[in-house]
Amino acid sequence: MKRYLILLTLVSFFTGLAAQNTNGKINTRYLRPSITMLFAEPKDADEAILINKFRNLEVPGKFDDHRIQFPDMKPVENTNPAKKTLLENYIRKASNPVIAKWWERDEQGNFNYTLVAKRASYTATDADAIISRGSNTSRIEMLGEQLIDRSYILLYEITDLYTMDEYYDRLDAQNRKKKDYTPAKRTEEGYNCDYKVYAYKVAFNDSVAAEFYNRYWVDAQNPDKQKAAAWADATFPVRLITEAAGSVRSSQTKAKEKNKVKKTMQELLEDIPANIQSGAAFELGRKIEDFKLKVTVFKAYPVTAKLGTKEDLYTDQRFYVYEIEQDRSGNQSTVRKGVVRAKTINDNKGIATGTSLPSAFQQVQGKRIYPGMFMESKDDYGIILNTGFVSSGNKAMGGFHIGADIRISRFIKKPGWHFGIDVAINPFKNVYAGDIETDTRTLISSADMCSGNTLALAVTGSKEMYFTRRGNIYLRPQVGLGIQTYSFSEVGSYSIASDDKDYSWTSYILPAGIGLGYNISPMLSLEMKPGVYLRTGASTDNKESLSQTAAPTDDKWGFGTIGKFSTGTTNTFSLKIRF
Amino acid sequence: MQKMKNTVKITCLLLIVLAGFATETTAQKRKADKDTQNWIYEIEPVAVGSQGSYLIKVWSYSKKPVIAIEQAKKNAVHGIIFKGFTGIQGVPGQRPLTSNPNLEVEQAEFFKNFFADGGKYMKFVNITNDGAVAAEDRIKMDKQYKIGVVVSVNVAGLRKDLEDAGMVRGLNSGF
Repeated sequence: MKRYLILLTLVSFFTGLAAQNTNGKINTRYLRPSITMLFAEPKDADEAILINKFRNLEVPGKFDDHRIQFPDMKPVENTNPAKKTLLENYIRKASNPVIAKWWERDEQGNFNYTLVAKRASYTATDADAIISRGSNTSRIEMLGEQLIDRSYILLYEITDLYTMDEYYDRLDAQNRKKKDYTPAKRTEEGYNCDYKVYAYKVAFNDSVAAEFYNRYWVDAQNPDKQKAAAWADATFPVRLITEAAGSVRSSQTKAKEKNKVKKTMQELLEDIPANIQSGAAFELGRKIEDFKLKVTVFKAYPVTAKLGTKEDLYTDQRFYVYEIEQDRSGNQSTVRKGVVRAKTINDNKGIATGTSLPSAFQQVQGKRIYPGMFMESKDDYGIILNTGFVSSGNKAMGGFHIGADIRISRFIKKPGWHFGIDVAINPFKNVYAGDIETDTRTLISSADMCSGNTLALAVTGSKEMYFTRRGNIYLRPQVGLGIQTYSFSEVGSYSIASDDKDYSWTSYILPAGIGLGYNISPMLSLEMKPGVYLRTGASTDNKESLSQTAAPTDDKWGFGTIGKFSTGTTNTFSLKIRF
Repeated sequence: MQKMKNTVKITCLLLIVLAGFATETTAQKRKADKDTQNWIYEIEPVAVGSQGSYLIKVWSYSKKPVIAIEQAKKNAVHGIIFKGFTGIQGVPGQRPLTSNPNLEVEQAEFFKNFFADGGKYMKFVNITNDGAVAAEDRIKMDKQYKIGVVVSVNVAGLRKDLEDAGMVRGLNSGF
């Protein structure tokens, strides 16, 4: 009974604090949410394989794994108007074993504090450990009570699972309606999977906790058969916080590849759950407040914070740094002061002792950051879209510019690395190209005026590098490999058909440059990138090489060097939009 | 000659700028000292301290958070001697060490020295954090910061010292 009273007091105290946070105070700490994964019943054998694999997956490291034995949910059609209620009823029933697991309920119905205390120790920070050392009561064990109020049940529903063959069939069916229908090339084998995930939170607030202790708490020292029996019907309030949907593909080429063992269809199927889980965790992490990492800026310049592998911190993970402001009526708000990205990640797995090493972050935008400011994760997709223009002495390498970069630093564990594609398109009209011919025919004579388009396309690798403290300015060395093409619409008085291979020319290019960028906001940057390129001689789409015999005196479109290696410079001005 | 004049001008300008910075910092420190002299702070308990100590959070105010952190120790000891604090659930409140509301004025000289920068008060207080003020304890209010610092005050040692100095009566001295 004494134990019960202590627990009740502690729960009241800490849930009181949590309530304070919802009352105008900013919640500034990350308490590891626990995740229980549940599933909609599989509809066929493939889904059964997938879900069985899914069941055995560990949850991402930033969460506590709170798996329970609970039957799958009977399938409910999306069109069923009672779907929401049916789902909620199912989850509400699951809340019983979820709470039972927290308190390690045994066959006699006794609860104990072991798991709560264990998880509390693991979630505790250095500051908690230090304060606990200076205290007579264990502050760390008390944290456990708050963790129960961060119990989430994720219900996964496979909405569509189909093979790549079915995918091609669907694609063909769609394309058949089009005029120039050609069947899809069936090069891949494997599966596509569409899924939906519903995130429910089990409430264990002050009033719920009090009712739990009053109606159900039984332990070895305080046996109570009535209470133990009452537990069978116990459920707890649940709330749908958000839902997310996504698609995952697990496929491989059908062609035989040397020195590569191909996966079986079952192996491809079994690869899907991990991808669903990471996709869902990312999406939910953006939507659910409790899933966002929160921490104090420990030191500034270099910016450090006590997060690490325990919280699944990844290279270049984005955080906003805030200052907390309070008005005269006590309401708090956050004012963004800067943006930082994880640079070096410390292994902090284990129980905090007060001396764990912080991870280092690179500020990439904003004003000066000070220790004690509030940091919160703001995960981005790592996709950057670029638009602008490229100027070059050879206009065929310039023009309207679009591009996209994908951040790959998370996978290679080195900050700032991107893989991208850059495109420059430039139309030309009534331009003299000189005498250009292949081995078999003259394509353009020096008297002909030409019109058409040029395109320069390159896949690139680049690294954003920061040399200043606040990171508003960056350098981005970039190299690439690509093609530069000419396609003609008119030569002299002749119109050129778009499929005329003699008038479609391609060179290989090797561009390189160093971008100098300014981060205007977390989403927008302006960049100027001076660069150089190496271009090979061009050939037609009929694989015939070109030669130039009388280049125009004022050659701005690179026709003078069409048949040989050439070099030149470019300057790219772009606006970058980060997602 | 003109070159020398320019050099002198630039040097003077630099000196003025530097003096400005120094004055500003000194002024901020003076303001914080003044706040401390007026004892503008709040105390709340954090947890039951280990034997003979209180674990409290002191909220101090300053335009510069760093200065507020510096003042926290002084404020904490002052609070324990003269103000005490009210309890929260699980942590009982504590009365001040002195019951004489005029003690600070009556013994102004003693306490001026006691709370001087680097004074004796420092013996009885330790900051209890991992090296940074927690984010929820660094709050900007209007044009100043409210900074909460968790400190452990060695109340047993503090009481004994004040008893020895005749500032407070011993617990065994009766009524």
